[in-house]
Amino acid sequence: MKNKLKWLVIGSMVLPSLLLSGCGGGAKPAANKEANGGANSNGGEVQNITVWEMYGPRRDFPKIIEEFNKTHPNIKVKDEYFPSHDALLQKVQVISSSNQKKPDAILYDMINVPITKELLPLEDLNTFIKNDSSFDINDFYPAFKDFGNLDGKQYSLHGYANNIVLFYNKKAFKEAGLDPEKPPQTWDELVEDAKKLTKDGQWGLQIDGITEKYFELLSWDFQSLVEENGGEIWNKDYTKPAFNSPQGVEALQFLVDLVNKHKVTTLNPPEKVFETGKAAMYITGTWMTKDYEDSLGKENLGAAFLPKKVQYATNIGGEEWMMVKSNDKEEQATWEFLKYMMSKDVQLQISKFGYIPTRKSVVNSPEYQAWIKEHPAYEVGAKQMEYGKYRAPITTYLQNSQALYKYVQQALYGKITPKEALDTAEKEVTDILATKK
Amino acid sequence: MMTTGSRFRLSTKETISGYLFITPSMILFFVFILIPFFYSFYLSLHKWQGGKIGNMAYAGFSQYSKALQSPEFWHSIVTTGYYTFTTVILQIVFGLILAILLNQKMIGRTFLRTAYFVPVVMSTIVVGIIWRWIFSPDKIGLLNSFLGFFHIQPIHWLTDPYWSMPAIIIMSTWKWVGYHMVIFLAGLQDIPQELYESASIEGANGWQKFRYITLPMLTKTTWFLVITSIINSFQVFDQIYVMTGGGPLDATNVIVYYIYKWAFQFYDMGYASAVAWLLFLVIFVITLLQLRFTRSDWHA
Repeated sequence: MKNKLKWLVIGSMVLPSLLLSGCGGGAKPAANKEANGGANSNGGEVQNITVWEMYGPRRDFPKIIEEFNKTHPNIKVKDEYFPSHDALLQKVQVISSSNQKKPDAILYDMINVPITKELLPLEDLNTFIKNDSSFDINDFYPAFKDFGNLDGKQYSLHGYANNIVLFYNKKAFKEAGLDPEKPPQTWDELVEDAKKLTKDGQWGLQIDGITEKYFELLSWDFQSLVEENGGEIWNKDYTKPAFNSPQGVEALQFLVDLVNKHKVTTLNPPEKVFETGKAAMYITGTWMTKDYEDSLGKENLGAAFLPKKVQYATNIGGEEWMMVKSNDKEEQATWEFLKYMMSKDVQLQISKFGYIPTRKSVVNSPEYQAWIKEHPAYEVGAKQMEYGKYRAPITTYLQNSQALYKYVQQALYGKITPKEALDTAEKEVTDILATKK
Repeated sequence: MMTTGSRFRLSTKETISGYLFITPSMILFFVFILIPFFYSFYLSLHKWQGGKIGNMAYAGFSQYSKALQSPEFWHSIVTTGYYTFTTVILQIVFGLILAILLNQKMIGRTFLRTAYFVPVVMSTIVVGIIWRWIFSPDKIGLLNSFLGFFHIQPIHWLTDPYWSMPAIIIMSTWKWVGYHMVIFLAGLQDIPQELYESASIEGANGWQKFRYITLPMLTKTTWFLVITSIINSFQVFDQIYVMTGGGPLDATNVIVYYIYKWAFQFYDMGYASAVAWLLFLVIFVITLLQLRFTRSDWHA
């Protein structure tokens, strides 16, 4: 009994301290120790860095990291993957208010850069770019360095890009008597072809935002439609919404008509509608290229620009790398890692999943040119970049997007008219901008 | 434990070891339940100023009045009520039927009891993903192809605002009916056989035995299940998160999902905490009412 009691006393003293150390305070020394690292086989010090990422071409990331760790014996990268941009932003929000060690590098949707800059102390990448002759910032397409350039500082750089394209099933085109090399180029042609492609068990056209629960998809599909119609989403300095214009209403009406009037699009698509051949055309991002090629076969997968009404337009996406401030040594190691992740080799590897390289030297390389010649569906997104638009680089982007999503969806389901939807959305977005300046 | 009479008084040593035994669980209780409980009340009196989640200013009870004036909040209450009312009735009716069937002497009884209980211990996330496929709107969906045998047109379970809540209710009933069955089985086995025997001698038929013996004897069990499953149903979240994300058109935007959205998608912890406290009040009042109405029955 006495012996048992002794163990109980010890247990009850140890357990709380274990528990407490698990909750914040005590974790700090451990993290510091890890950051300082141990010695490697070459005798030099190993610098540990932590990466939080929502890396699109997921399947290749462990391989790429392994390669980096092998070629950089003085740096050890610890990879922490998040299943969605939302989940990563949640973690960034939480850590911004805690004393815990922050990650060294973050990669996620470019649209989160402005808010992340508010939350975490981000390093100005220019301090490294200037002193590093092995890294040429001018090799990036202007658009990809401009987005992360806020108040004269380079807070982020595009790791890889994507945009929305029109995928189509060449086999379905042939069956409907359409030329598989001539995808629709205008809204009218889109409706016309979609009608011919719609039959029992097959929908003419599906749009990812209708199917997916993530609000951002429908919101950015709609934004592209407005721009295709010659409308704007915001005023010049992003202080006022501009989507509630005749062009905007017409764009939403077009989307609603696809479902209700032309009946070529369904609000109730089965799971994996395009992969299983139940939709002949599908509007979504280039990140799906590899998946679609795998399920439909290379010869059946076609891709085209988003059809225009007034002009070609598409929404640009992609993930941006950010560096969180730490100490010189740690930042230097992080920079080596970022440089590697944006290098020609890695970008080439990523492009084979349908992502668009952000550096001119990659696009112009013989390897990339040979790849797109062999796989024409991968080239469309890259070519379409020149018509691409950016989403608003403002901290409240996601709230505004949620509002837009909510009312666009209500219009799609016929609860309100497109005009009512955009009136309400405009009012809500104006409120969001006013309260969260 | 009784403490009347010196014979039962604990020795000091035993008191100490008693406290030591409960220390670990009390620490967990404090850190993960009690402190967050009061902290959320503190948060509910604050308003988020944008930027970091911790960036808040004192706002009194304004978050509560904001919630009470929000149509979306009331919509989520109505949605939750719809879910709770339907699920609780279905779970209790089917749980009772299953319990009575599986209380008979029959081959494979143990296997069937286990089989019905399996969904209870499965992760809701896993079950939700399986049911997404079962509910697939086309003819490839398992449920729709089954309905097809009866010439029922495919139903757009999860994407139609009218059907999405029934779909969630079907799935939740399927998942939790085993739990109700087990509790009812325990209740059934507590009923003395003599009651049935004497009823048989008096000439009662099966229905009469069920109506006048089984049902009244199960009152306590039933009320226990009603109370716990109302409380549980009010807090439904996982299914919604996996299967519909509150949509389409907020048709499944129940109160806890509404709280989640404000806390972890809009980062307004103050407002989310205020709504959470309103939910707490609702559940608290319901429980009090139930206890009041049921107490007299229990002693009857």
